[in-house]
Amino acid sequence: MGERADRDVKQAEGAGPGGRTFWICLIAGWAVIAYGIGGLLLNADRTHPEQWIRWVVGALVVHDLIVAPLVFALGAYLVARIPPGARAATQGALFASGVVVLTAWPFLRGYGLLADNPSALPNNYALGLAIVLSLVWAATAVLLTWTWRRNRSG
Amino acid sequence: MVRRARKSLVTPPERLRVGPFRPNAFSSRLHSERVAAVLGMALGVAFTLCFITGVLSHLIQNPPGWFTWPARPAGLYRINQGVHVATGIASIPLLLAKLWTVYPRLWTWPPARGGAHVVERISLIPLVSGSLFLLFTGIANIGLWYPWLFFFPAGHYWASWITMGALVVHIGAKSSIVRREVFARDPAGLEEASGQGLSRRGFFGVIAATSGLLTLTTIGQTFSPLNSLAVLAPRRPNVGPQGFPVNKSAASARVTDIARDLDYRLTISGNVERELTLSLADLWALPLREAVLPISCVEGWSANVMWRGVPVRDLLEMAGAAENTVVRVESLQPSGLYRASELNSSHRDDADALLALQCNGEDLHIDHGFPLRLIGPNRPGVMQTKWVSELIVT
Repeated sequence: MGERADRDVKQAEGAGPGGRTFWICLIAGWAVIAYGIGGLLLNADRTHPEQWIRWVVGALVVHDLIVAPLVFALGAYLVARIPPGARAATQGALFASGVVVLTAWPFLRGYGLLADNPSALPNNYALGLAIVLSLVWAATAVLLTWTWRRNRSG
Repeated sequence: MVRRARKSLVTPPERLRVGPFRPNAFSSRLHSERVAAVLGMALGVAFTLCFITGVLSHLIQNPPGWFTWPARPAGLYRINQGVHVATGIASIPLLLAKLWTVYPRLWTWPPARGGAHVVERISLIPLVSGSLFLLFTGIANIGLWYPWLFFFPAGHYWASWITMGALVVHIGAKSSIVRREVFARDPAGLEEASGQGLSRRGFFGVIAATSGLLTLTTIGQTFSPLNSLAVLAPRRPNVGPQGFPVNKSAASARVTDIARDLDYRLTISGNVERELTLSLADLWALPLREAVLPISCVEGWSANVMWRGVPVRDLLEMAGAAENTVVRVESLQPSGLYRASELNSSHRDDADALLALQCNGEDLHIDHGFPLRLIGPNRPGVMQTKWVSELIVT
């Protein structure tokens, strides 16, 4: 038996961060951030800060307010419908599938295809994704069968 | 007044405790500090590796006075970029898993407990948005997709400084948690919260497997023994004219006609004893040298190619170029940021720095730089200037 269970990330931690390490890292870190912002503004002809900031803030907003809530909603929907014994494997397979599809999405859609350069994005990405996803779900099915048999015999 | 304000922060109004603010809104046992700490450490290592390789690549392409990139070892740049892109791709599952794990903290109530907590949380904005931005723009760039107006290398580079600065702040804020959760805990005394679904170890396994899967299906773009597995890679090292990829075609560089002009001449000028003007026939009449050198793209793919051409140092000797000078290599390409490159003294004096006429036993394809291209050891692809028209000794 352990001393205590995992701490939930939502548990309060007193007054928040502090101490010497925190303040030193805070000052050093913001100095580096200031260097980055300075470089961004001094090279405005190439960085187009007004465009750049839209994509940076956009990434945060899309992740925190759209993608994450959808993922949690999907999780809540599935938890109620998938038998407890199959939950872990399904969770793992969904994570792997989702991340792989998301990563390969620009290649799959061929956003960067160039008429004069056939060496760019030369693969059949639909086929590649189908192979990878089949492997993920085949491994999941094997794992589930194995767990189910073990539980039945044990 | 202040006391009342503080009280309403500490004890939140009940009517606001809805949606993600509900006490049990996030039920998975994986939203634990230990999971967050382990993933955070892994991401810290991956991002640091990405940052070092990225800054190095930036320095090679924009060398300040104190920095000299050597011509040897020939394959070092290829490894640097291979590591940069592969680490970035492998970080995608790590980052998404980490953000999922700590997402409940976004909705903690009260939103801040004191001044230090306020600055710590504000510093998370550049950290999270910068991390997402870097991985998204990186993936789009290797897929040659540019849905924005800024110049990718500049936007990506300055974002990396901002993100790494925010990471330093974050490490300072969380170091005590990492010490407690990862280093100080007695592993034998660990008890995971009970529950259904993935266990902590299972979650780590799934994340590692996903990173591994993405790596295996893309790394072949630079590591040719795994080429047959590279079904999701944006490039294949053996696909393209004459058996290797092209980044900028002759058509997009608008050189299709001038590169094929029979009156083509290479000129060597600047700090030389005699200016040279050489036709293609003159170049073919010179002693040629063969070298196997990688073409290593900034975007993470690379391919070994057998090149044949005139060593740059032979041409410089013929022209009586001053020693220890920088040589500017100009292209026929009328415009563009990469229409010229520089050879520092290490690169210009290397025996294998060639103005190549042939690759893999054939005259250069026009997309590979016909009639003449620069190829040297240990250089980014964008600095292997194609359709070379001029060497200027400075």
